[in-house]
Amino acid sequence: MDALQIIWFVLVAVLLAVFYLTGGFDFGAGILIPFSKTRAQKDFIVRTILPFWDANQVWLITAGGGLFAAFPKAYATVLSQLYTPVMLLLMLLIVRVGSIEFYFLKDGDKWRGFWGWLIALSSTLCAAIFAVALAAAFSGQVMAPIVSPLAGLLGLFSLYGIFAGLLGVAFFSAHGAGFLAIKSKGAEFGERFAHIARKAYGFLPLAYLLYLALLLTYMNPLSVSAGFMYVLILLPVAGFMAARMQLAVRAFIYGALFALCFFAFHAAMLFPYLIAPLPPDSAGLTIAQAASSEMTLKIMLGVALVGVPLAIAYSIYAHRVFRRES
Amino acid sequence: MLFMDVDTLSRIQFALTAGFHFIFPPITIGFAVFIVIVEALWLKTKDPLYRKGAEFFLKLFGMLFAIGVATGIVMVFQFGTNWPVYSNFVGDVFGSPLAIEAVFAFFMESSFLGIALWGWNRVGKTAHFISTVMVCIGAHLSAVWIIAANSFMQTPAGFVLQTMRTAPDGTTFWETLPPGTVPNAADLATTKATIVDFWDMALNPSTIDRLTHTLSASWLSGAFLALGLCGYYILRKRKDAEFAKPCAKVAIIFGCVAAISMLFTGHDSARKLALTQPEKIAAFEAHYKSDAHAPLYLFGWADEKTHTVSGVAVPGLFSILAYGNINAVVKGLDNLPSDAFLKQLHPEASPADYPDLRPQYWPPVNFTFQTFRAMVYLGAAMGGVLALGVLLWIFKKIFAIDEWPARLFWLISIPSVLMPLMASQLGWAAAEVGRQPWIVWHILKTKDAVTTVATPGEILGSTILFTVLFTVLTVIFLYLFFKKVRQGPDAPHGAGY
Repeated sequence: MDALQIIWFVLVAVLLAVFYLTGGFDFGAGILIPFSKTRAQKDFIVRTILPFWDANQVWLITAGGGLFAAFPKAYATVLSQLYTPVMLLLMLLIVRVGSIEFYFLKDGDKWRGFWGWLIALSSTLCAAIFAVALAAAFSGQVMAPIVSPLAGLLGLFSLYGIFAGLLGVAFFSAHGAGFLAIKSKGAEFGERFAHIARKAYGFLPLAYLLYLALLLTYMNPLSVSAGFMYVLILLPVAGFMAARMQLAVRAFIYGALFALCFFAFHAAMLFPYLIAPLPPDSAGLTIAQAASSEMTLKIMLGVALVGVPLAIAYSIYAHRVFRRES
Repeated sequence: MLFMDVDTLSRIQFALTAGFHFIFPPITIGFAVFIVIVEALWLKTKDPLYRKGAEFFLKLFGMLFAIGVATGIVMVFQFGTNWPVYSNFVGDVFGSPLAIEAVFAFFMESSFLGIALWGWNRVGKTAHFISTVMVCIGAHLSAVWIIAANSFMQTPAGFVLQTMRTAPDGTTFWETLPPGTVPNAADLATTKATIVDFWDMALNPSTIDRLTHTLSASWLSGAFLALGLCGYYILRKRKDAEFAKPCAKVAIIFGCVAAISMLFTGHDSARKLALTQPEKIAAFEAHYKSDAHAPLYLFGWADEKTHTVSGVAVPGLFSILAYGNINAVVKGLDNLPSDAFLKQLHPEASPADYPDLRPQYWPPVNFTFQTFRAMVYLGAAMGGVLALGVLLWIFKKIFAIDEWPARLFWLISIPSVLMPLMASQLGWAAAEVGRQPWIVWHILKTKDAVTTVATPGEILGSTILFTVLFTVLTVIFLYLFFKKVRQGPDAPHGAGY
């Protein structure tokens, strides 16, 4: 395995993590729509994510494209094995984008109530299925032979998979709540969103603890850097404390750091595999086995080195433009 | 329905999801150019009508764009879900353009669209114009990379095939296969395409022709959407949409430029086909017998059993169009693919068997014959509409809607919005069906590239769900789009930015 392959392994993990950090807040804001009290609050949520959801989603497409280019075999294996969950996820993503788009195109409580509800439902299910699918890839479940489509689908919802899904939803909600709390600071319903943020950040350490318990039981064969995983609990706890003290920006940053470290530790655990050899009879898939040629990895690294800073620059500019209400 | 196999169902699903998605990108690419022109005219002339037009058209653009994005996300993942053998085989070559498209095009488009849509009062005039331009550039860049990827499937270049071998000491290594090798289906798991020259791959023999052809079609789509919208407001004599008249002139000029570009790029694409994918162009023309003075059928019906076409033909025109020479011999399907290629694929067969072996390497002939013709005639009809507009303009009658010629023109302009969209779908269908039975031309067969994991039931189920989803999406979208158009530019904008 050479350095380029390792760099791409890290890059794919980074792209996924960045999708969690960016898409995380718009999916999370969507999940929280039912917890807002008034039409004005619901409108505020959708309006706040409107200029950003699209660019955020591009991080997911980039992660998919990056995986395809850098590790075609992993891309082909994971997606074909997870056929039904991926199809469901794609349909839910379509429903979600449609709902966000349609929300403001008509006035009326019924219309907006319906689309708001659909945004929340699709955002929640996307968050859950996405985390369950990642857990299946991470735990090697994805390589298990599929006896029947139904058994294959149910197989993903092992206890480990379920708690990964729960953690995914909890993180998105907290991240979205943090984002809304920042955006609504000083607005008339700022207090409402600060309250939601306290609740959402409160759930995150709990969800993480449950997930950790299952990870340590389930993933024993891998050399789990358990010490780090225990220490990591400090970040969501710090996020909760910050949310309690109404320090929304800090809570948001602690949450983001948590997600980054979470992905980093999981990537470290997985190394040198892309798909762990966990289920019996599974050989897993190593980075070297799945990697593209050196030339492709080099070209793509060049693309990433130019393109990703540009993408970040566009994003920072867009956030500055929409920083304040006008 | 479960009698259908995974291969057929996966093709249906891909045609459905890609076909539905492909309604939107051509419109948004072309419409973006139109909006850039309108906004530039505002900056240049300071005429507030252009400002109002640009703002309103951007709102409609945003709606179209969102559906394009929603349906587009399926594209980057379905190669893996339904075509994993393909993905694994060409991932080293084909993955990069897809990733590059996301990194260079999608971020640009999506970040600046927010500013263009809701940033009118948040950024200055120039910054806003730059945002609109960035959306337009991003849309074009995405076309560049997706057409490069698709053209690789048509005319693969810049790669070698490698197969995994085991050395005597037990280690494995990749051995490069000679150029022109067609791997056996059984060896696909251990064979892959590896890139050797990125630019040869990206700028493969058909990329430039197909890109310019597709972009011309996209500009036509944008121009006709603009023309139809303006036509609606002009006919209704809407006081709130007085920008319709100056913008309609922009649309006519833009449409004419696109149509002229279409004339050349369409012709170039067809000529290139004759050189690179002779089976495909022979199928487009249902041309079975190789001969000089090859005829071109104006319309007809190809009988794939008897290898005959019944219809009206212009003798020699196919030879002239394909090679610029009436005496040029145009190879027919009876001689395609070549003997050498068949010998390589069927080393055991004798040349006497070749006529029976050939048809399995032909695309569906009548389907491509008809779709190709329909595309061309729709193109001609669009040219006719534009010519009528130019004529009326020259005689200064274009806005005299109380007289029948102008009234007729603007009435036609509204349903004409559909013509470039239909032509795009038909042309795309002809191009992709014409590539069959290959997923990568003369290297990998579509039926060998399909998933071995998902069951027919799963694919059928997801295809039905996609059909339902797209139908519902279309109904709601059209309802909202027409509502927005009817309300016009002065309606309150819900988002409140």
